[in-house]
Amino acid sequence: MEEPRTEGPTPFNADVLRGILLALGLHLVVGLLVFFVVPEFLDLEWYIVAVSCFGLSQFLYIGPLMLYARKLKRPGLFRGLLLVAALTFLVNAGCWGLIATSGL
Amino acid sequence: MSEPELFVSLGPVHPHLLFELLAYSLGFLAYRILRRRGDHFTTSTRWSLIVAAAVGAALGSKLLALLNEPSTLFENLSDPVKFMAIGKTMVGGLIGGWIAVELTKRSMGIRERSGDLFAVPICVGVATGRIGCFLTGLPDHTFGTPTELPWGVDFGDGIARHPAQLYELVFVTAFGLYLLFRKQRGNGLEFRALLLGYLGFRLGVDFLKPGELLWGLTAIQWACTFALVYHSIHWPLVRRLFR
Repeated sequence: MEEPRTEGPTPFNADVLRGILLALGLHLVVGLLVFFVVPEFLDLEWYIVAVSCFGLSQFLYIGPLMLYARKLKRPGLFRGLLLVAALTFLVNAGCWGLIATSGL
Repeated sequence: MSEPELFVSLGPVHPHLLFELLAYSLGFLAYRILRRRGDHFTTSTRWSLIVAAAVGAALGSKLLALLNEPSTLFENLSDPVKFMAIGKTMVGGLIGGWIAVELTKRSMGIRERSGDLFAVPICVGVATGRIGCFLTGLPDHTFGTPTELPWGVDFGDGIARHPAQLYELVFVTAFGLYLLFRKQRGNGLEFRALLLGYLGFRLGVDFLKPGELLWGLTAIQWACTFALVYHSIHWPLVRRLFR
């Protein structure tokens, strides 16, 4: 059975960083898919909701990963994922309305 | 009705998005630098508190922003796009983050004060973020009421308004510099001082902002009032900071 990675600052730090990079990497992949692939298959109304509420829709893939990190007993990974999800929600909440309602 | 334009355009990048991302980055950088001076918590515990603060801030800032625009909220209860477009508020973020950190500490059995290390980074983040709010102008809804004072700013609609974003920027910059350069450190009161100072400032400066009033105050001002009353028991301790 794998040892829980809670002891010592280095493994924990590395796991937090892995979680952060994993979430950011997935955001990038999903972002590319959303802009280049998904519009072909998804109803326009749902597409707008999914993109504008990205702070919420991100949990479709971040949520299961967080549960998996929990199952693996990797609290560092879990926290890295949760941190990026919270910041994504904040950025989405702050900027979506502005970008949608103001000309660049 | 035409959509409001940005006060200052930075080309293809929205100024609010740019400065918000900068705010988180610079705030985290400030935290990393300050932590080198010493921290009585382990890295693991500190990360738990940071994540709790981020989650609490996300929930608190959204919840209070929704309450601050009740008419828009009730008109668009079933519209998730409008729900996200209402935005967020710093006051809710600060209070939500503080509550989440306190709950996390309680669940971990921690009784020591932990917020001092966050006080200056929060000032850095707020100051940077408010630059984005100012550059965004009218769409950001953080501008002040009309004024005839010489420093009133016309954000593009022909009306000179209080640059409330810059008032806040000046306040948090001064507060952050004071906390950074004062001689005595580590008494555990810097975060409480920031909380009291910032919420007191917002309670006052929000009278210079337009908003939906409920019994004479906006929801943000009511939140400031409740938090200030709750924290007022710490005021005699916080006063030590300014001696």
